[in-house]
Amino acid sequence: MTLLWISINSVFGQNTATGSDGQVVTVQPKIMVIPYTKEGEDLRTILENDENKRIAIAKIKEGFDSRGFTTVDFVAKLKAAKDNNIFTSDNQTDIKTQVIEMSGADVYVQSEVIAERGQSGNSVKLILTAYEISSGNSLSNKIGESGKFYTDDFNKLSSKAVESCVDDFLNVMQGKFTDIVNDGKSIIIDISFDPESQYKMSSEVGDDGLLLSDQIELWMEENAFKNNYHIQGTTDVRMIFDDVRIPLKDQATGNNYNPNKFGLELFRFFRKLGMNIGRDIKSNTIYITIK
Amino acid sequence: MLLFVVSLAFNSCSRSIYPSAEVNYLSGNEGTVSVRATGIGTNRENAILNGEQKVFDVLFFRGLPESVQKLPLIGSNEAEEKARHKKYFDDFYSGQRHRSFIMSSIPISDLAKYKNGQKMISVDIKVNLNALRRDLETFGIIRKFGY
Repeated sequence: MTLLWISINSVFGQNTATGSDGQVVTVQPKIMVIPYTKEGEDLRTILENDENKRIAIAKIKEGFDSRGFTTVDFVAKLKAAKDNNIFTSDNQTDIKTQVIEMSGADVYVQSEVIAERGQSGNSVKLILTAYEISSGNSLSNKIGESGKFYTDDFNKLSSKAVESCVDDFLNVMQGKFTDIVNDGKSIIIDISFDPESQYKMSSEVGDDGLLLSDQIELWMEENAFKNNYHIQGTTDVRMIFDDVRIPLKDQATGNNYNPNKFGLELFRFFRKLGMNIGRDIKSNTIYITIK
Repeated sequence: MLLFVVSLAFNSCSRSIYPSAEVNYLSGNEGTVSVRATGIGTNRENAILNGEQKVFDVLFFRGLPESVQKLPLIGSNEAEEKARHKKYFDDFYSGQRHRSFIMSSIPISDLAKYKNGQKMISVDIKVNLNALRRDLETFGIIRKFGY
């Protein structure tokens, strides 16, 4: 019985008090819908003054809700960030980046609402784009149009513009999510050296005396999901992997897998080489500093 | 010569014949899609049923251009998907469960002669797309939105 308990515990790695009989729920990406802003525009004022943008955002979120998916509320995050004095710059474009970073979102959806008045009727165009924050990979792009109507009800036109494209937009996005499930999630690994470090990328390390950069790449070859990784560049003092795929689930236990666990594997690798490292993880980027 | 004729006959027998997807988009609104389909069968009822089932085949495995469901709901490899989820598709087609997702099915032509004693009919069909997607998710045929 004890043996069985140990084996179950080791397979699922869950505390009996908080576990759920080995059930694993896949951690879903956090998605935030934000308005498009030009450089220097104040995000909150833009939203507060333009009800068409608010309607478009609410309608897009409704699209996610209809698929049973909960999004992160941008306005709530913006308010929390302002209340906590998180912003460090007056530049509003920077503030947008900061809100995206502090929200912990994996994906953001940007909506641009363009209201057009004309003699043959008024219309609203909508540009919807979704990005994966870690890699900048585009997940879906659609342009919605309300069509021209003799009306000044731009709220209704905004709503129609969203309706015209949101389902298609979500379908394309889901296709990209399927690719991520099959081929792994993209993370960035940035390896650099402490100024006091005795090592460089050209240092010979390990039992076989290979260059450190070669040792790292050989390890990456073995550990990146489905051998899928891309090196942005290597110098004597830095090595950047701008796209390393990690699985969404631990291939041995079936538990959820994340960049932190991949960072742990990297830590073990460097320790095996007899090297000390510092490890920072910010969203989907792992920063390794070799000491 | 005899060998050539036999080989030609064998090749023509082994080739799969797929039904044409005469399903065209008419209109769509929040969560619904209306299409015009051509159904073929031995009588009016069978022809309508064939037209209705063609609509679902197109939505599941081909996608419907001009509609919100341009991409296939399930995937392009229908043989593999139908084999993998045999029970679901048996219920859906043979058990005619597909009808619970049809909001309206209105024949718009008279029954006309087709080939080999079969008849054809045009039908306007409105499908509850949201309910269909949720059903596929519930029975694990497709994943829910997200990872």
